Amino acid sequence: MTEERPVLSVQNVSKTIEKTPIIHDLSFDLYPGEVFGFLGPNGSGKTTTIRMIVGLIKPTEGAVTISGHDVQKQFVQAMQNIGSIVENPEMYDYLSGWENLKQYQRMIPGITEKRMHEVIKLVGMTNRVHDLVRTYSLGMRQRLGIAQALLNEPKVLILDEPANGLDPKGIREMREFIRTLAEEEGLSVLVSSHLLSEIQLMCDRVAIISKGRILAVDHVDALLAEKGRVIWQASPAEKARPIIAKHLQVIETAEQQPEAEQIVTLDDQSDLAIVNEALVAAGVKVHLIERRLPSLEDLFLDLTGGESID
Amino acid sequence: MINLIYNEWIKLVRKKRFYVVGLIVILFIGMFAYAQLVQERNAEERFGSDVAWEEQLEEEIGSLESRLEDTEMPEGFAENFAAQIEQQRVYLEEGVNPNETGAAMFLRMFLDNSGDLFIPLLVVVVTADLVSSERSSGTIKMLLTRPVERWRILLSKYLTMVLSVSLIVLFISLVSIVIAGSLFGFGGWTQPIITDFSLSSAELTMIPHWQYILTAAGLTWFAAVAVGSLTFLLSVLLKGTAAVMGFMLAALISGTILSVFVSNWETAKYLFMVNLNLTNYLSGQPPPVEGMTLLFSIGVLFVWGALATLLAFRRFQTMDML
Ligand SMILES: Nc1ncnc2c1ncn2[C@@H]1O[C@H](COP(=O)(O)OP(=O)(O)O)[C@@H](O)[C@H]1O
Ligand SMILES: [Mg+2]
Repeated sequence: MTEERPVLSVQNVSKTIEKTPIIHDLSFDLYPGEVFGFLGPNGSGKTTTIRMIVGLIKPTEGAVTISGHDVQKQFVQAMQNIGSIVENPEMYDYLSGWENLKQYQRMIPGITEKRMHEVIKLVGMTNRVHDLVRTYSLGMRQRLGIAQALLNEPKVLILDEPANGLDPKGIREMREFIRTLAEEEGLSVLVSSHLLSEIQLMCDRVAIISKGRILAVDHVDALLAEKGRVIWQASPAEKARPIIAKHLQVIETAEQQPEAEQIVTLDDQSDLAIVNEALVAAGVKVHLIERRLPSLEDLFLDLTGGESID
Repeated sequence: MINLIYNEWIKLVRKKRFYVVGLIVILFIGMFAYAQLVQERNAEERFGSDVAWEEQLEEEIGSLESRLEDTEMPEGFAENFAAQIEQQRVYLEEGVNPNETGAAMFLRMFLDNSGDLFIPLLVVVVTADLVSSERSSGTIKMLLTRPVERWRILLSKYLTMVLSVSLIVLFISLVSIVIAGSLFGFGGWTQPIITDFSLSSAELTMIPHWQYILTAAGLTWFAAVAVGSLTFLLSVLLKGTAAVMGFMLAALISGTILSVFVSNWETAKYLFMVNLNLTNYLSGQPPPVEGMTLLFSIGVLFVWGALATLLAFRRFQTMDML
């Protein structure tokens, strides 16, 4: 996958708004056919970054290229290859869904009404497309938003917090829909979210962003595996702790209770039996040794040094 | 570009703003025409229908003169009166009845009196939300992430403004003709009227009504486009449509007030809002500040309008859409 040329490339992008630095030297690439997660708490700069990708705001430094076209210098060519929903899918609510799409169809050369019917069918809006957008639920606006984003047959699709305001069923449908787009149509999708569970389930790779900086970019599995944990339960804990610490790095997690006999360490894939032997030899009772893949929550806490997600 | 303008047009029409403006035009012209009808009836009652118009005119001149002598009025008002009396005299000498009624006269009068406030207000109502509403509703994000340069999108909106202004002037003319025509008859197009271009000399000349009306409509259109351009700039700069309207309404209304009291404040003549009444130069009424001419006012409006347009395009092109 990495041998291919990226369809979207964000290169050392920084943004300062009214003298406040908001985005700091952000870089990442999107490759054909992958779903890329953009994960960070509210206010971390996801939307600001996306606005720079689609040319709504100008980076103070750095550049964004889409299919090799610089967004600032070759705006038209760049926009031919991208479809997006930035924040909420705002539509002209005094027009029908069809008329909204028609507006965008008229703006893009070469888009036929046949294509309009295609995308409407794809997002399952055929029945309601001639109703006024004013009467649509949030879920339907979201679908219409995706329809307009797909209208120009883009190579990159950008969805900013698509799960916002959807019920669990809607979220599941959205997730499946995005995977289908990537797998069957070969689209690259950038999905931003502050919901870890979302990203974890549908993304191939994620970038974790906090306070305008990227903390990590990697495959979901790799990120998780790298940060594997070993959970120890042994008593007395005071006695066990220094022995374990000799072999493995002990982590103080936020949820750790002082009285708990639980000790969490990094998993460096070393032989746990050696540690166990040492513990037993010192007369510590070992109740449990468990290797555990962390959730992205743990990962995030680890990366940000305790700043919580929500 | 045609497609983009068509898009803007659909938005304008579907927002129903245009119908409101249309309704206002019909109501206002209806009221104006009714007032005219009542006035005509009163004149008939006063003089009787068989009195010759020459006698009526003489009496009118007399009453104007006595009012001018007897009452204390601001300098501007007095000049206005004097100019009117002078005109009536010329009509009398030339044997032309200035009070003859018909669609042409009505339209002429309406254009004479609507260019500085009524038409600009309608233009503001239609233009104010052209850009600002897209920003406040967030639809600008969909609009500006298409493979179309920003300046093209703004140009389509600007041309939509010019088109709207043209339609407003045209619609007002049509409604005037229809309403006044059915009340007073559709004639009067070749009836001569005094005009005072103040370009060549102080001499008053007579031209047929149709010519006067075409000129007046053109001048009104020009002033309205200038107002539209300023509104357009504010619509780019401000996110709230209400703020844009408030700003422009305040400017326009202060302009009509200033026009009366401004005669001693020389530099006020460079304000766009005291230059809007271009038809005044046609009908020969004295300008708000002495020394202002038709060409001067056109120049001032042009500079304001052009600068506003330039600024709007420059700002929009590099603006961060937050
Ligand atoms: N118009 C603005 N002016 C100044 N600061 C802003 C503006 N919009 C957003 N910000 C700031 O930028 C930061 C990132 O915001 P945003 O990109 O919306 O975050 P996210 O989408 O990740 O929730 C926030 O700290 C926010 O306060
Ligand atoms: Mg956001």
